[in-house]
Amino acid sequence: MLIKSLKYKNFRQYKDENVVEFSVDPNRNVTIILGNNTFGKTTLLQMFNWCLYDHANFNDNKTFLLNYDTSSNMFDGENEDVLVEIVIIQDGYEYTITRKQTYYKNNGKVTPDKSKLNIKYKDKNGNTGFVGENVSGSMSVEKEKESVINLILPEGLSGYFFFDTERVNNVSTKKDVTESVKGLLGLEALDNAVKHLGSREAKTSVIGKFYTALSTDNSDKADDALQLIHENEEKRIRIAKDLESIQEQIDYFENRREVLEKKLRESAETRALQKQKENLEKQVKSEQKSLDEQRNELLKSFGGELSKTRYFFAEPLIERAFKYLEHAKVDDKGVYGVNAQTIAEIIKQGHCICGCEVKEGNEAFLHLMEELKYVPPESIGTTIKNYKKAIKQYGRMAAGYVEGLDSKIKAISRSSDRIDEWQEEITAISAKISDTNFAPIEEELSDVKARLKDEEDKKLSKIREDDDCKRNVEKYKNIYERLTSSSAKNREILRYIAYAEKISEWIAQTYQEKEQKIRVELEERVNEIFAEMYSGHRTVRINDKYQVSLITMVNGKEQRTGESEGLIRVKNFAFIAGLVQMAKEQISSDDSIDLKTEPYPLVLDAPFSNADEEHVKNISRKLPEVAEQVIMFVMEKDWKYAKPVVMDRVGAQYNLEKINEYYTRLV
Amino acid sequence: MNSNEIDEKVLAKLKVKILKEEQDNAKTQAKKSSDMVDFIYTTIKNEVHKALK
Repeated sequence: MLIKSLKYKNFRQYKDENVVEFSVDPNRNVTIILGNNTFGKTTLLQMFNWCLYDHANFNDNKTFLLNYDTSSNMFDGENEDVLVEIVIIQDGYEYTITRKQTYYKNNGKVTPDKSKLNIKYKDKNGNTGFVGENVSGSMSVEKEKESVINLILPEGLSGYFFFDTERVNNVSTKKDVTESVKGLLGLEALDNAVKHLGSREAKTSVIGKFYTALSTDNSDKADDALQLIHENEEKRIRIAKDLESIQEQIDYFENRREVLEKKLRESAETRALQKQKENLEKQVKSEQKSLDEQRNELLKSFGGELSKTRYFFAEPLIERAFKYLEHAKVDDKGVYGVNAQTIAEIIKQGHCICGCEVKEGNEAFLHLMEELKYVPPESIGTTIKNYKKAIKQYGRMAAGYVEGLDSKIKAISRSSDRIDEWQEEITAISAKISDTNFAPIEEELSDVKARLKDEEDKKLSKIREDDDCKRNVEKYKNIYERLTSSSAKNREILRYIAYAEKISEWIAQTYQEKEQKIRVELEERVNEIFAEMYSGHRTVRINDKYQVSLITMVNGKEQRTGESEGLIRVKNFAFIAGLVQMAKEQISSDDSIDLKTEPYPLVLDAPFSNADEEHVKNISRKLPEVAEQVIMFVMEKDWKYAKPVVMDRVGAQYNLEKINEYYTRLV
Repeated sequence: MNSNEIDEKVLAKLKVKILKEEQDNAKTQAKKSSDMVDFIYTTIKNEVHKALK
């Protein structure tokens, strides 16, 4: 299939009637349409969807396609057409597919009529005609047209050839692309044949219909056996559905487990640092508690007993006083503890404590008077002597107290230093790691593992249940056939069933073999193309649902790798290119089954978004090699990288010229 | 039914006829699923019945 041209008028911002001729030269199979964002590249792509399938995918006004200027200038009673016409070449036929929608203005309001599709054809000999012209009845005509569109490009497959940015991003990660790939790679016929032949429980299938045609000759036992066959087969269908949903759960949880384990794996170093940080934080907390206690104790011992607190202030003074008085020259002839008052009292009593009479002028009296010169208050020396003795004792007590305080203060200071040191370490670690809390990840992982186990147990139980049903079906089938085979008519029907089952078995087996072969071949192709587009060590894997992932080898084991947006784009293009390449070629076949499919063009809107310069070049080089025809709507900024590698394949090039929001021209 | 009673020639002919019709219909999608079931049903019935005569 090749797209020869696109004609349009009044379609959104494309007001003027215009025809775009695409390159159909096999050596120059690329058509480039250059335009920046909002210039209308996506609108051009949507013209194909609207013309072929009668719907366009816009974010706004999906059903109102008429150009805004045209619509605004209409008068009541007037009408205007939106038109898109595509000329396609396929199997030697040239189809001109025209979709037209008329808009009417009445009472100031513009409303569209139902769109009309016309398909004109020209065969290999130049004969022309219109699809549906020989069919009577409007329903049949429309069906005939639909059938031709399906022949050209079934809508289900169009998503693989008409790409907007979103489609390129999603194509390899859709939940299950098997159906589309089957269609693309020619497996659909085999798949449908198996479905149509069906089974006994599917009453509308071929085998089901044969089974129903068997006469039970009013035998209750045969009826019962048939009933039990149906019940068990129906149960098997329910089990198959359950198994499918269980498998979906398993796939989901396996995927989730992988994601979580990856997160934990990748952050092993971060986790070690996080652990270290947590330990330090615990130490700080504990030390802080101890510091608070020490401070309280210090405050308590300092302010709690005031009699002792004065030691703290007195201690340095005592020491200084002691040093000062130690070297002071003082007369200390006086008797310790005796002062002037004592002597005055002895004189007053008239006798000494030794019994001597003290009388003014006698010898004892004179001795006392002499002594009076050395005792306080006349003599400072004795006072000092007394003072020194007192402060010596006081100093000892003060020193003990201050020493106690000192050791407490030193302990506080050490604690404080330790806290500061750990806080510094915590700050340094925090700078290295983000504050990710891994506990919820580990918690979820544990939960996911438990759920996975539950689902796997459920799966096993369902498989056992299914085996039981299968055995029952075989058992009741034998009973039923024994009971019904007595009549000649039934014997013949059983023979039809045997043929139908043989054919079904063979087709199912062939399908499996082909599908497996195609998947392996597709993976090889995609890997070859991926290697040409991407320079690295990643490899593409395609699972049984045709979902694509990238893997790398780590210690001899396959491991899924992270994928940047750019890499996802390259991966998806490799997948698309692989599919297109395989669809282009006939699948090699060693028997009579011809899985020939149709080569298709690739129509791509902004294909290089998020891809870097190198990948833009690689993608541009590869796509024209694998696809029959490539039509790309490209932004100027990407074109400068693509141009050097793709220019010799370009057969036509256009530029979009945006006049205003409602008017774009293609030149 | 014993598989010995299957005529391989008839079986081969049926396989080709059914697959060709499925392949044509996969392209054109002209026939509904129920039409295809009827076609296969009738084809098997006629071919096997003819062979039995």
